[in-house]
Formats: sequence, structure tokens, C-alpha cells
Amino acid sequence: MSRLLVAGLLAGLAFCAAPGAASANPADAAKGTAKPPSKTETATQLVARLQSKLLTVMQRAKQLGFEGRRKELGPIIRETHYIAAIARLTVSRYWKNLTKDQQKLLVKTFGDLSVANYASKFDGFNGERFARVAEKKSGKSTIVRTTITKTNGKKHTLDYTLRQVKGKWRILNITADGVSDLATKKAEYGSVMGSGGFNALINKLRAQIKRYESGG
Amino acid sequence: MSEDDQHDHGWRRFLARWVDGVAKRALWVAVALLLVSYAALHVTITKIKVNTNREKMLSADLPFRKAENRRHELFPKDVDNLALVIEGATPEDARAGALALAERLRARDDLFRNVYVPRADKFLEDRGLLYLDTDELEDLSQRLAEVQPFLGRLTGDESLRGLFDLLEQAIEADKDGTDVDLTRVVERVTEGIDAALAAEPYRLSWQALMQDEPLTRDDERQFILAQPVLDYGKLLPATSALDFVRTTADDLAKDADAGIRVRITGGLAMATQELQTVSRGAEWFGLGVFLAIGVILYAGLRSGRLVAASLITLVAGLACTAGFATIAIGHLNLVSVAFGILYIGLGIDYAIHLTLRYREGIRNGRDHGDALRRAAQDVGGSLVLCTLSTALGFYAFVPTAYSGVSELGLISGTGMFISLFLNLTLLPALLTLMPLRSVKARETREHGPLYESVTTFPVRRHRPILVASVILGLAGSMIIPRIRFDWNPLNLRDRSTESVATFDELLRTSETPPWNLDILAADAGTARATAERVKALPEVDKAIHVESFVPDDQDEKLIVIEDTALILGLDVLSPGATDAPNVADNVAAARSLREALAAYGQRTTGGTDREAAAKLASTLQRLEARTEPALFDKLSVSLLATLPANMQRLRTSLETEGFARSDLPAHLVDRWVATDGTHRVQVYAKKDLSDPDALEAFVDATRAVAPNASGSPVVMLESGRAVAGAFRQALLVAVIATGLVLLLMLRNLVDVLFVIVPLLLAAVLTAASMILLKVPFNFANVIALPLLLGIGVDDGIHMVDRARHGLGGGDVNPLQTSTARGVIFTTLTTSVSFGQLALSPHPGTASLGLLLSSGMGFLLLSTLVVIPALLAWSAKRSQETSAA
Repeated sequence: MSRLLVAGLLAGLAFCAAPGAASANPADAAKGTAKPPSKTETATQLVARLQSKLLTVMQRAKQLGFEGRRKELGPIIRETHYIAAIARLTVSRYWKNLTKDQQKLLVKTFGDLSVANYASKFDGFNGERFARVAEKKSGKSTIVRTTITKTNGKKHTLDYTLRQVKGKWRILNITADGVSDLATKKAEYGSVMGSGGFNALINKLRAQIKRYESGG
Repeated sequence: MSEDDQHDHGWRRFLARWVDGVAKRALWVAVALLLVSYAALHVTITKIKVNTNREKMLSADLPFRKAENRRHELFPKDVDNLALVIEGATPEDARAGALALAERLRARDDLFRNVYVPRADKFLEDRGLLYLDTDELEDLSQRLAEVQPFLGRLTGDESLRGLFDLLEQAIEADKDGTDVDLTRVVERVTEGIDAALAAEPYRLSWQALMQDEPLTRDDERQFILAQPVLDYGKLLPATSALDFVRTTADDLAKDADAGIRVRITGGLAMATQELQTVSRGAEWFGLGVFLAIGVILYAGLRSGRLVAASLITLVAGLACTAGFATIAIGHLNLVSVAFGILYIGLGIDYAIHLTLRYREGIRNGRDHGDALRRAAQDVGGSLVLCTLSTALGFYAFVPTAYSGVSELGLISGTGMFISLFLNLTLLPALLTLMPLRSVKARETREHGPLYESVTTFPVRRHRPILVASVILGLAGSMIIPRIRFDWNPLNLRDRSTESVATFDELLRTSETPPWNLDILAADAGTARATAERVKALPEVDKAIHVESFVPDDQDEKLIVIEDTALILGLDVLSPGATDAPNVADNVAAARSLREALAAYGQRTTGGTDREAAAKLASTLQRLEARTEPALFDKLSVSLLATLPANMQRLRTSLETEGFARSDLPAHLVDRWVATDGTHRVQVYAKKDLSDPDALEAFVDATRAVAPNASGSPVVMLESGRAVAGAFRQALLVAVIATGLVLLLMLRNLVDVLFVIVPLLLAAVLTAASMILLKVPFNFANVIALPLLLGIGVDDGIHMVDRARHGLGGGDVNPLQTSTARGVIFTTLTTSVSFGQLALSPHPGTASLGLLLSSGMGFLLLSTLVVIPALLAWSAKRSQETSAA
């Protein structure tokens, strides 16, 4: 199907630039938005930390511009998202045929893509609020259900699927109102290597990054 | 009057005395014999059984039967199953319907011993993904990723609104540069809405949508294997079970939206329907036979009394023979049930010859008693000879391995003696009770020149006739090696009956067709090795055994499955908390979608077919004008009803864990491994086995690797070989034995040859014409051969005998005697009566009729043309030698 459904949804969540109050969500405050990551951080805390950072960037979105947002979000995205797994899951059967260098390049490019995507979509603030609603275990993963509420009251669900990697939680997938980001990526990029090879895939990823850069 | 030869003076006198004695006590004799016949009929009706199992007709010692029996002992759930084929509007409906039907059948354990739904086995379904190749799994994973947004969004809002919203988003996707092909979904939704607007049933199969390839016939079918409790007291033991299946199926089919179509097939069902076909109109056929015989007899005998006496004797004989069959054997099988045909065809012969001679006597001025005596004396001799030779011919069938034929031989052979006895006892008694007064004057007119030239034609032209006969005989013999025996029982059955038509379809289109081979292996290791060897054969498509149910490479596959589960985010998708939409919400969503479709039509990007999109748009417009909540509810059901079940199945199958042979459930294992540890390997052919050459190649190739392979294909082939062999052997013995008896009785080798050779010629010509007309011999029509043999011998004997022992002593042209008329009439009665068989809806019976008709035709030729020619030729030769 369409990666664009997710993109569309996330775009729907994009906000006009407007300075505003920081998130008034008590849950947020309780979790401490500016606390540095600790070794005993729970999955929910990690998601809270990420969303808090997102809010911050959203509120200064226009000032930062795309490049600024990219720089701000880069580290936390790469830290909280399990990019390597996302890359492997997307190309699936073709992963084992790649050389170590190719794998490294793929992971890096996916990371760039994720960051660029966030930078592109969170380009303004209009009174949105994040809220962590629930956390549940599901097999090997933990799912953190959050909502984002716009000022007009419309709510959207954002479900984060996390796994512990070397003692730290990392995000594997984000499902927005039922649409799975991993699925979108796989639909878009999963068969490219089969028909065009590794370079075709890298090129396609880079082309998308360029589109984000130019505001698409 | 005539001083007959010394040696038979004695028994002809005995016959005369016998008939006199009967005539004196005519009333007592008639009453007594009629009572006996009635008693015989009563015994038959109350006690006779019909054995419809074709297999059991062959000796249990034959190796293939032993293999079959062994397999049935080890796997009893396999035996005599009804195979129910269930189809629905969607695969989901077929599955649900099959499970519902199975449950109802299971509730009646008085009717069904076992009910199994092989394709809806929960254990296998839950682990279904593991049975795919790793590559297939990867492909499926990719496809599911592509439809994930549908699944995700829909489970959030499982309503029309949700569906329309989703389509709208998807159709606008190309604005962002994605080529998405929604054509199939769009088409299905259009169909669904059209159907709802027209108040017609419709079901959208989400399983079909989620699969990339179009559904195969097999995907849309479900099977139930139901083993009925058989009531052997009935003629058709499976009737109660079959009736129950039918009524239950009709019940389930009433639900138009999710209705199912149930067809019943399998060996048991086919045998039952075959018997029903055969007996359909059997009463009318029986009536038709007697009517035809009556009419022809009247034409020949010109006297109602003679006809009545003959028919009564015939029916009495039939009853007594049936009574004998019941007492001596107790059952009839599908072959020996035809004894009636043999009896009538041969038995009427005796009555005709006797009454014709009697009538001739009356016409020549004798009184009743004298005419009767003469008839008995003159015809009696040849009748006794006929009886002995024909009965011997039939008894020759008894020692074969084919009990179908051996029982027929026993019954028919004894029937000949019964016929002789009754024709020399009951018939004279009846004639005495209603004697013929006089023959109408019309009868005594002289015969014209046409008659003269026709009846002397074979005598005058005997040389060219004999030459032609030799040439035809040789030509025929050259074609004979092409004789084929069609062992396929399907060809005997009415192809239009449900059981056979369904069977044909499964053979052609199913991946697991009903004809396959079974190999028994002592243990798992042997089974594995055998399966490997057999799979390597080019004729073999697959070889399945219990370990086939444990997939390979499970670790690898489980990784892909886990990843897929993660990617689909199913654990996240709990049913949405959105409110159910009302009509206005749905209409709004429809309008929105329509507008998006219209906009799409203007663009050039996007992979969805524009015509399909336009059609959906116009259909939506019609939908928007409606306001009835019921319509929208119905539409919602027809488009979304199969989604929850599919989602659940997907969820469950993605949660699968690996498993080993020991985890297989018992109900599955004990269809593949017997209690003593014997494993079963089931082998399927690549080609469609309704082609006999493909079947033979498949069987031969498999048996080269595994000689003890069993199953329907083997049974059919071997049965065919056994039956053809049995007939060949029996016919040969019959001909030789008959020849010997003739030799003993006629004491003249030349005369014996005069009887046998024309008969053989007729046989060769009949067989050759069958081959040229492409009508093969089969299980049904082979029984025509002994009948033709019997009639041929009888006719030949009558002709030769009459020629040698004319009324005035010395040789006579038999064609100018009443004997010739007798021969013509017997032939007419047999061919007209049994020619009706050719009209039967049962193809096997029809081919019997055809064979009989053509055989009788050639027999008539050989009896009325070749025999007189031979006689004339030998007369000429002895004239020449005595003159020399």
C-alpha cells in the first residue's frame, strides 16, 4: 500500500508555526521532560522523552528551518530508534546477501531517511498535546500507546513498538491510527533490491531524502 | 411314420411317452408347476440381496485384492466414504458452511461413523504459514505489508465509512508519487454496491483480496469425508445417510448470502446412483420386453393360445431360476443380475421351436395329442442337445476367478435345465388345456416364386457365399488384435449424474484428485525412502506421508513469520473505539470518495485502472441517493463480513510456533499411521487420470518402484485384466466343451464343424464391427458373449438337425422348414427385446444392447446363409464323390 498514508497522516499532524505553551500534559511533567536518559528508563519514559523533544522542536520549527530541525532531532532519533533492525526488516530476504559495508551503508541511509522524515513533518506547532495512554507487553515487544490531540479536539493514536536491545529500549515500529510505518517502508522499498539491486535501493532512499529536503 | 436312426429310437420314444403322460394329467401338472414357480418368486422377493461392490466380484486371492484388503484393515476410516464437495460464494463461506454441515453430520452418530474435514483442520490452519516455502513466505510478507494500511485502518473502523475513507486516502496516494494498483479492490467494491442496490446477494472474499494470485478451483472448495453406517438390509445401504446429507445441505443452502452448494461423490455414492440409474425404468423395460416378445410371437404363431402358453412358461421358468439363485447363492451381483436377459433370450427359443412344430402338425391335419407328441419327438432331441451344450458353456464360467461371471454361469446354466424341463412339461400341459383347434385357411396357401428364390439362394450360390465368408472371416481376424477392454467404471455410468460429474471435475481440476495410489511402508524410515524414490518418477506429482505434515526449515520460516507479525503491527490493532456510523456518515464518506475518484480520473499518475475508478464513482452516486439503513447494513455485511474471520486467522497464523512430528494431533496421524506402525504413502499423478494411457503409465511406473501399491487405479486396471482374462478362458473352454458335447451327440465331426464354424465367423465379425465402431468391451457388455454363444449354438443345432432329419427322411433345405422360421423368430425376439437396452440411460447397459443387436444380426446371417451354404456344399461334394 502506501507509505504515503503514513506520511499523509503525519502530515495531518503537522502544525503551523506558532509559539505556544509547552505541553500542559501532567503525565509529561511527571516523567520529567528534560531528564537525561538513564539505564533504568522504561519504554514509556523513553517515548515520553522522544515526544518531549519533538514538541520542543515543533515549537521552534520555523526558527530552526529544516536543517536546524534535522540537527536537533538527529541524535535522539538515532538513539531511540532501532535503525539497524528497521533496515533489516525492510529488505528482509536480501539482507543476508549484502556485504558488511553494504549493510552499514544501508543502515546509515535509513537513519538519514528517518531523521529527514521527522524534520520534514514536524515543521510547526499549533497547540498539539502528546499523551501516554498505556503500556502493554506483547510477546517479545512492549507497546506504548500514545495520543496526539490537536486544538480542535481531534485525536490520533500513535503506537510505539519497542524492544530491549542490550538493556536499552529502542523503537522498532510506529503505528499511526493503525497504519504501520514498517509496513509502509517495506511496501515501498522491500522489493526494490529484487528488481534493481542494492544501488537502486540506495538511490531511491536518497531520492526520498532529497524530496524531504526540498519540502516535499 | 419316420423310422429314426436306431441309436436315438430309445430317447425319442421316451420323450413321446413323457409328453403323453403330461397331457393325461395336464391340469394337475400345470397347477403344481405354477405353484412351484410362485413359491420360487416369493422366496426370491423376500430373500434376495444385491451386492453392488464391483471389487468383491473378483477372487480375494488376487494380489491386488489382498493389498486393498490389507490397507482397509489398517486404515478403516478410509473405507466406503461419502465425499462431499462444498463450494460457497467465497472460500470463507465454503469453509464456514463445511464446518456447519460437518457438525450436523457428527450429531447423528447413528448415521455417520466418522466425519472429517481435511481442509479445515484447525491444527494445520493455525500453522499454515509454515507449510509455505521460505520464498513464498517472503512474498506473502511483502504483499501483506502492501495491504497493511487497509487491515490497520479497517480494524479501527470496521464500517462502510472506514472502508470508503480508506479507499479515498489510497486513491489520492499517487499525488505523492506512489503508484498503487487498487483495481481489484475497486472492482469488488463496485460489484458489492451494485448487488446491494439490486437487492442481490454478494460476498466479498478478503481472503481472495489478500492473496496475490487469483483463487484456484481448489481454494474455493472444501471437502467432507463422511463414513456412513451402512444398512445392508436395504438394496441401497447408503440411502439413509445420503438422504440426510441432502436435506441438511438444502437447509444450509437457504441462507442466500452465505449459502453453500453441496455435491456428493465418491465410490459409494457413484455405486448407489448407478444402481438407481439402472433400475430407473427397469419395470417399464421389463414390460416392454414382454410386450415385444408377445407381439413378435403372435406374428409368428398367429394364435393367442400359443403365445399365452409360451409366455407363461417363460415367466414360470424365470421365477424358478431366480428362486434357484436365491437358494443356491443368496445374492446377485452387478453381473449375474443379467441372468434374466440370458434366460429370456434362450428360453423363448425352446417354446418357439416346440410350438411351431406343434402348429405345423395341426396344420397338416394331425390331432392335438399326435401333433404334440410329434413336436416333442422331433424337436425334443435338438432341445436336449441345446440344453446340454449351452449349460455346459455356462458352467465353463464357474471355475474363473471372477465371481461376477461364475455366479452368472451357475445360475444361467441351471436355468437352461429348468427351461428344458418346463418346456417339456408345463408347456405341453398348458397346450393340452387350451389346444389349438385348427390353423386358419390363409396359412395353407402355396408359397410364391419369391419365396422359392430367397430360400434357395444360399444353396444355389453356395460357392461365392463360402468364399466371401472365408475372406470376411480372415479380414475380421486381422482386426481382432485391436480389441480393447475398457476397465474404467466411470464410462459405464451416466456421466450426467451428480456423483459422476463431480468426480470427473475433481479428476480434472483438483490438486488432490480422488484417484491416487497408496503404498504401505513398515515404518517411518521406509516411508520416507519410498516417498523419495516415488517422487523422482516423472509421472508422479507428489508423494505424501505423515512427515509431510511437518514442514522443513521451520527456524528460518519462523523468523520471517515473526518479522511479518511485527511489521503488520497486529498486536497493536485492537478493534477501534469509534462510533458506528449512521446512514448520513456513510453517505458522506461515499460522496467524499466519489469526489476523490473523479479527481483521480483527471490525473495521469496512479496505477489503478481509470475505467474501474469511474465505474465505482457512478455506482457511488447511485448509493448516495439512498436513505434506507437496511440497505447500508446489508452492504456493510456483504463487503466486510469476511474480514474479521480473516483477520483472526491471520493473527493466529502469525503467532504460530514450530512443531515436530510428535505434536501432530491424533485424528490426523491415525489416517496416516496404523496402530501397528505401518505408514502410508499417498502418491498423486501429474496427469489427469481420466486418460487411460496416463493412468496405466502412472500405475506401471509406481509399481515398478513399489510393487505392493494399491488404490483405485490399480483396482481398475487389474480388474479389467482379470475380467478380460476370465472371459477369454471361459469362452475358450465353453467353445471346446460345447464342441465335444456336440461331437458326442451328433457323432459326426463334419456336422459339428457346420455348427461351430459359422458361429465363430459371426463372433469374429461382431468383434470386428465393435472395434470399427469404436465400442470397446467393458464390464457390462461382456456378458453378451455367452448369450450370443448360446443362441448361436442352439440355432446351428436346430438348422443342422432339421436338415439331416427332415419330415420325409433324407436331407432337406432347412430354410424351407418351420425351423428356419423358428430361428428367425428367436432372433427377432431377442434382438428386439434387448435392443431396447441400447436406449438405457446407463451407458454400460446401452453398450450391452448394442453388442447384442449387432451380434444377433451377424448370427442370423451365419445361421440362415452360411450353414445352408455349407450343407449344400457338402451335399454337392458327397454327390460328386459318390458319382465318381
